[in-house]
Amino acid sequence: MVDAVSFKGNKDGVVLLLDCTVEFEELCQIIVQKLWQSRSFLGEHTTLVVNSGEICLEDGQRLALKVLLQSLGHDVKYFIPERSSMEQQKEIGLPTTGYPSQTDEEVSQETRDISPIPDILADAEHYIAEDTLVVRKNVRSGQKIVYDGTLIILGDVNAGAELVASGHILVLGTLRGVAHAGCKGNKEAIVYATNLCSLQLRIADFIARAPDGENTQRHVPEIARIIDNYLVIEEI
Amino acid sequence: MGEVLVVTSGKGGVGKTTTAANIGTGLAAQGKKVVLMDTDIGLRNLDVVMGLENRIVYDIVDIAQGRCKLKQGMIKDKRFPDLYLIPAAQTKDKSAVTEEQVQAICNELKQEFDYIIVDCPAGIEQGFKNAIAGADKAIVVTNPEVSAVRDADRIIGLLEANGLGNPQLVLNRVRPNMVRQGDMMSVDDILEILAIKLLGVIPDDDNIVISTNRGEPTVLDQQSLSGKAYRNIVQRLLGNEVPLMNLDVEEGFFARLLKLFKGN
Repeated sequence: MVDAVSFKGNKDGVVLLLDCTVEFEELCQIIVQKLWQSRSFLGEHTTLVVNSGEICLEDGQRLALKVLLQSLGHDVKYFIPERSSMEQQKEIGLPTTGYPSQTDEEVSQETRDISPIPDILADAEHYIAEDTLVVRKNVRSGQKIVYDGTLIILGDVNAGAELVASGHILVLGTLRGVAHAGCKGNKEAIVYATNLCSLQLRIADFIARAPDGENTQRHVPEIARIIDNYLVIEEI
Repeated sequence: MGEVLVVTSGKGGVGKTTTAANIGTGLAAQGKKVVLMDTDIGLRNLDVVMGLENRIVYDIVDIAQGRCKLKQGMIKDKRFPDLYLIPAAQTKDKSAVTEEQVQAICNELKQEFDYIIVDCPAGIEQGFKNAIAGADKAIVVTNPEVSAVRDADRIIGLLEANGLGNPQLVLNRVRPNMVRQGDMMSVDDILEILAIKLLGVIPDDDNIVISTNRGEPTVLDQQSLSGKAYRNIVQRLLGNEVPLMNLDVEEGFFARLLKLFKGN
């Protein structure tokens, strides 16, 4: 299983090879482990090329991976195989305009030429939290984790538990409790969970609650973020 | 001027929260203005039983410590316009609020609402003291079990010592068949020991489990026996005379015939 993630060096730098036949949730967990084990080899700040082999990663999965790697101090140069940003935006039904444009239009154009990462991924760079806390346990009812930075939970977060972070919140497990990302007002923070079952989610000063009486246990990774002043949850 | 009723028991798991939710909802269904207040800080449940968990933003600790206004901390019920819930905090403990703070909240609520139902935590420590601090009347919940009755007796003594004499009794989870066979204490046995006024008897009913899990108080269920028992309690609280209902109704002729065929 650990072989699902490996490193390779080429002219573009370090390539992170992913075996996408493994469940995405598990893959993320292995990545966290691997990066920790190879921290002396990788160094503090490494720009990685993510190669998922034959399988093309979904838009949301790319965002999740990017945020995950960024919170661990690294960055993504580009993804292999590539996908055009137009195609992806059509697929998830996002408007092609209305996103905060890059400050330096030329630079962003240049990056897009090399790596066709859609706008939302480009935006992800604006809100890298400086610190990351990785918690390897289940967070139970009555427990509250508050952190100034990005919070990564390798485990489940049960109902009655609370996560509060000034950056992103990534739960590699089931999230049933309340998560508050971007608690200091960062509207670009996201909440990612491999199984998002929260009754209530908060990002910056936005609050969303689960609809009454609906019990939708779907067991698919989802990302919550603010789009045009709405808290939107997307399947990835 | 409203009335603050504290629902307490001493022992855990006898049905305090269920009783508080049903009495509160039942009173609201009768057109009263009601606030349900959960004082079980650290082990909150009333919000789940009421099906309002997803609406919690502020809780009783935030109100007590002035982090939000009283009105902001009150969650409006999804069924009745004049029913509100003040949830307990989950990530704090019982010492997070003081008796004076609870009393102040109760006094403020009394100005506007007819009934404030306080759900008390199990035990006789700080949580219990907080819960009874602002109360005008007490409702003691117990089960027909020796341990629960003993704890109820202890609680009645403590309530009297704190100026809450003459509490009313709700006897929960009574199983008429077992009482008939002499395997369970009867209502009369328990009243003889506790010697307080009986407010009502609730039969042991599978519907309670279903409604609790769904977040729909059983008092609104016109079919279930326990729902009717709670509606009777609500009528008695409103000052109407309602006779104790016969809990044996399910044991009709056909039921007995069916049992005969099934061989038990």
